[in-house]
Amino acid sequence: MKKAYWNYLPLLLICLAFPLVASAGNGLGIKGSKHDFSGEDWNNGTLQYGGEVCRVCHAPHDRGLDLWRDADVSGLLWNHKMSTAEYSMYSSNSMAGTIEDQPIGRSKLCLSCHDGTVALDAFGDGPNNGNGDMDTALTGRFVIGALKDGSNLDLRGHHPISLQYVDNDKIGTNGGLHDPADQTWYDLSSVALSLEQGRVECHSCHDVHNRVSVPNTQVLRAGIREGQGGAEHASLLCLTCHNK
Amino acid sequence: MRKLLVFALVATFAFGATALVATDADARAMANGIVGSAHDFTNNRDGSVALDAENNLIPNRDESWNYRGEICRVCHAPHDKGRTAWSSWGEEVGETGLLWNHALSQTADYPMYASSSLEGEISNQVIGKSKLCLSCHDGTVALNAFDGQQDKPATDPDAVLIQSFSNGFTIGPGRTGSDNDFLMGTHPISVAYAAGFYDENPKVGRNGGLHIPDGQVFGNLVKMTGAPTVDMVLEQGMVQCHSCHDVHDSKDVNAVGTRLNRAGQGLAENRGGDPSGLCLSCHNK
Ligand code: HEC
Ligand code: HEC
Ligand code: HEC
Repeated sequence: MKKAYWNYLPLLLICLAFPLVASAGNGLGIKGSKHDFSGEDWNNGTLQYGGEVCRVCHAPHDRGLDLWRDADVSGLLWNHKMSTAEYSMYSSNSMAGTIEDQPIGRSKLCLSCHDGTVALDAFGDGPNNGNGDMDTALTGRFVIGALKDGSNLDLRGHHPISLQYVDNDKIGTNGGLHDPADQTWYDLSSVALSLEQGRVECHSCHDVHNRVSVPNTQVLRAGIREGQGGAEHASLLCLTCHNK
Repeated sequence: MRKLLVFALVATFAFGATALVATDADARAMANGIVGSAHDFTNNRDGSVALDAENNLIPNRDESWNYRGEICRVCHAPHDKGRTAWSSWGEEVGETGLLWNHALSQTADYPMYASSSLEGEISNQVIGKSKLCLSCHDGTVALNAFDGQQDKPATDPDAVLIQSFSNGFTIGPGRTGSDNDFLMGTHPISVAYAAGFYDENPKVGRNGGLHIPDGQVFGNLVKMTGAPTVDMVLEQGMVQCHSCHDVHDSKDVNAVGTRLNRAGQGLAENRGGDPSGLCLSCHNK
């Protein structure tokens, strides 16, 4: 009789191990991922719209109105306060594709939190919306490179973003780039679909909603180590685009 | 014992009544049906008035303009109504006009949602039932413009908007002034989800895309059996205003405390108990 308990041991171990696994991108969706802020103190029931997942970033009515109005496209119902920072962009004499002077499009949305200049809780009717509290955004949390408290706005050490991929002269050349229309990610969707205006942006590699990302990566669309997401070799992410 | 019961009943009633007024003032759904809801415009008609804590009539709820004192009639009437409601964009959108009895907005040009990652087709103008919501909510038509009283009282859109929504409830902060027809910052409507008016949205069934609407339950609330599933609230496969909002505040269909939403928004009390349950009913994120 007593022995039967041991049968549950593997199950118990799995249960214990699961939270560790779940802390990194696990492809299970945004709920419970690092971008699920529904349980945070600053996003609670005292706010009219507290305790939601999506609302920190999107809200259904009259949001993101002016973000890309010049270009006649909607602003993804964006509900988080935007950063006004200016960045130093990647530049290189070996690059064939053009790069914008400043980040454009969806990368700006990521930077509205990840450059560290805007408070994390500066959204919709959140307490900090409008007051521009600079430093609470990423303190004690995951930071991308050295972008932390807003004092560093240098993107030169980051993979280029707002960078031309479609019609890039290196496409099809050996040692250059694969054609994005021919390449697929872990979830079999086309690489071309993850570009914006033909450009590589943050979301081209990362799925902020953690649904199509490879388990145990930082919400990446392809594995970076051998075996991750069925990768036959390491650095599959990079080699999905780069023909190296 | 009986006294206690009576007391309990009175207490429940009193409590219920307070709750009613409080929620009403806040224009929040109670999921108790349309009677007494934000879309019941019969206050001050038959004694069923909304009073504030000091027993004053809540001013914006003075609905003496509703001259017949009916609930449905502001929007529907049983005979020879709504026949032309949808004629302007072709009969295929709907054969009859839901017996529509409210003046429709004449706004012909709503700039619609546009995005590079939108894969479903979107109409270049609002079509179908969303037009009915906009016949009040775009602020260009007077609330009392029903039963043919088209021109009452004023035609100045802003004045109408203020009169209609003087409790401060407008859809989104932009729905005032000249921007009140600007739908680019509003969740896409008249947009393809299931096959129907348009082809099926390519995102359906895709991980990270959209759930298959057939039989897809809203949120994770325990609801009355028979509460509509996602496929049932689409209009010829399209997402419209009523796909998320139940204007009739039908029993057990809405999440209590939300804006007539079919699923919850947050865990806190009166938030429907389901963080972003509404969005996640359709979005596989
Ligand atoms: C931490 C911020 C954040 C949260 C929270 C968030 N999103 Fe997003 N969302 C983004 C960003 C940034 C983009 C643009 C990048 C992209 O397209 O992946 C985006 C894009 C989208 C898109 C359009 C592109 C596509 O993938 O179809 C949809 C739809 C969307 N989000 C839905 C949701 C829903 C539903 C939720 C809640 C369950 C949610 N988002 C929560 C940041 C967020
Ligand atoms: C979504 C496609 C994509 C992915 C994934 C990607 N890159 Fe790139 N990368 C590009 C494009 C496009 C360029 C621009 C090439 C050009 O125009 O010369 C580029 C440029 C670069 C450059 C700059 C080259 C120069 O000449 O200065 C480096 C270095 C680089 N990538 C490394 C990486 C690494 C390492 C990874 C994986 C961690 C990676 N890339 C993942 C598309 C991608
Ligand atoms: C609302 C603010 C916000 C927005 C917008 C946002 N992030 Fe984040 N992100 C965070 C925070 C905060 C963390 C760290 C959470 C923690 O450490 O608990 C994080 C974590 C991450 C991580 C680490 C994930 C992991 O599982 O380890 C990555 C990668 C990331 N973000 C990328 C992005 C990208 C790409 C975008 C845009 C498409 C984006 N983020 C948009 C706030 C945001």
